[in-house]
Amino acid sequence: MAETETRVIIPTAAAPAAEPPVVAATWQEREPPDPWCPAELTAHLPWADEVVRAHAHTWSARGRAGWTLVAGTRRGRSHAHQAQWREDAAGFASLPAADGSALHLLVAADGAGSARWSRIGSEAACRAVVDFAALHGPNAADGGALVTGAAAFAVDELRRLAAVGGALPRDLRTTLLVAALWGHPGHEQLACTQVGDGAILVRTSDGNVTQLGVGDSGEFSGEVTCFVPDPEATARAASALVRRDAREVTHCLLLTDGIEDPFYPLARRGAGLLAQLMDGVREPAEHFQRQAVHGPVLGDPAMHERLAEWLTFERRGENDDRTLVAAVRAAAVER
Amino acid sequence: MSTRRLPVYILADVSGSMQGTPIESVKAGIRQLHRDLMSDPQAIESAYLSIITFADSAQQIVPLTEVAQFQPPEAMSASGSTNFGDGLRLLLECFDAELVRTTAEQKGDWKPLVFILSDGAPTDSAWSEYASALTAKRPANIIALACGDQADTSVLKRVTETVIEMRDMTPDAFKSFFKFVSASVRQTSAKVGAPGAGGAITLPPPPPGITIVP
Repeated sequence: MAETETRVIIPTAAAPAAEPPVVAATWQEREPPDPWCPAELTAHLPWADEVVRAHAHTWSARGRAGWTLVAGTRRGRSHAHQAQWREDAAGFASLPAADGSALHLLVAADGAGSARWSRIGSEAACRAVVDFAALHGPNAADGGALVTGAAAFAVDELRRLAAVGGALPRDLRTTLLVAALWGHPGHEQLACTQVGDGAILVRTSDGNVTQLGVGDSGEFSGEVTCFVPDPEATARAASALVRRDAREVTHCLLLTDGIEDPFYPLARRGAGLLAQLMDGVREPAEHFQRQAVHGPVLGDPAMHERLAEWLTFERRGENDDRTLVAAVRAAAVER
Repeated sequence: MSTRRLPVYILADVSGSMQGTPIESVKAGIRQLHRDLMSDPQAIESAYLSIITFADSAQQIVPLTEVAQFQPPEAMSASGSTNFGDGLRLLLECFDAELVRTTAEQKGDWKPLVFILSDGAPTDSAWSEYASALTAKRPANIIALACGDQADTSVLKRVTETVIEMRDMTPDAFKSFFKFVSASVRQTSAKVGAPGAGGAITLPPPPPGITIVP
């Protein structure tokens, strides 16, 4: 009689057959479960109820001396998927100067993802900059001092907010981009500064597009070394100040990294970005997966609606919040 | 390269002491990691995985591969000595060959994540030299796991400040570790574009059974 073979089967740690199939997930749009304003700060943010909490928000205004101002900010897919609030913010102001000329101020901010209240930090920083300009701008002889003073004021304001809210300054970390255009027509000046990444672009009447200043970056992506309100932020804003003659400037744009990065390098692709905004989108930009085809953004009677559409472009891996703030000279719109 | 990547390297000890349940648990953990990352669209778009093993010598058994194309290695086996130095040497070589740094023309990769897993002490003498090279360059956020009671945490501390310890080497313990790995990768990939100062990252807390080595 033949012996019966006995086999002992010992299951290993995880037999592949028992494992569920691998399924690729898709992006979801989710509402944040937390209120926009943390309870600790409610009493200290008198403007909290004024904040537009829509995940995508664009607006425009006719400025003084023939300039038009427009801003758009949109929650990125990453934040939408994670049910988080937009952490970018923006603002602008058109103010009368004491000598009868105009002052235009643009500001954009991108809250640091690692900071628990960065959405508050970016919004508060933008408001601080606009408030500072409203208070000091009309009598400011020097727009350069105005933008660095406004950045310093934003640093102080965020530190104050952290203190009264029982938080650390780093809980409110944000990048900051500020630009001011001022002076009588034919004698206009521009000054700008930034803390952190993002980009400031100007286009001149000869069609040239130039990046002013340099964003904070490192060997790898996202290596920002200084945010508002870090201790060195005020000095960074002062050292990053750029001034230039603005007589030939037709457009000034502030971009957070959610737009800068997909269009990097702006030295090469900035003109293409401006062309899309000025002439419309006929086909997706280089490396983009999808981009809505539409007419001109800047110059369209409903430019903020067009900007909202433009901000929906899709590029693989580029899912951060996106913010653009622009000042456009009327002659450039009517060209 | 038109997509910015979050490179993730697993540097796994496959010396003889990892034979049996430990190596099978590592393979199961890598399959679990892949499955978890496929459930996150940001990780699908950003994370790239590579597997490097070391025993008598080191080899990169999976080059840096996007998550959707990644095939968990099934042929991994454990035998031989613990040539940790060769593992670190190969890791440095892979950094040089595979990572994209920021230039005026292109945005670089996100700062890589490296998970080192070892259950023993080095049997080679060169590891210290490569550990110094790695800490001098600081080209990645490195997390080292000392598993079992024979792992030398002081060696891992020479490579990274972030050393965690898992005394138990059961399948469940490895499963918990790889869940921690996938949570770390997902959390990091979710923050790409919105990093902390200097590209620093915040990791999820280690699961029960895994402790931080001070």
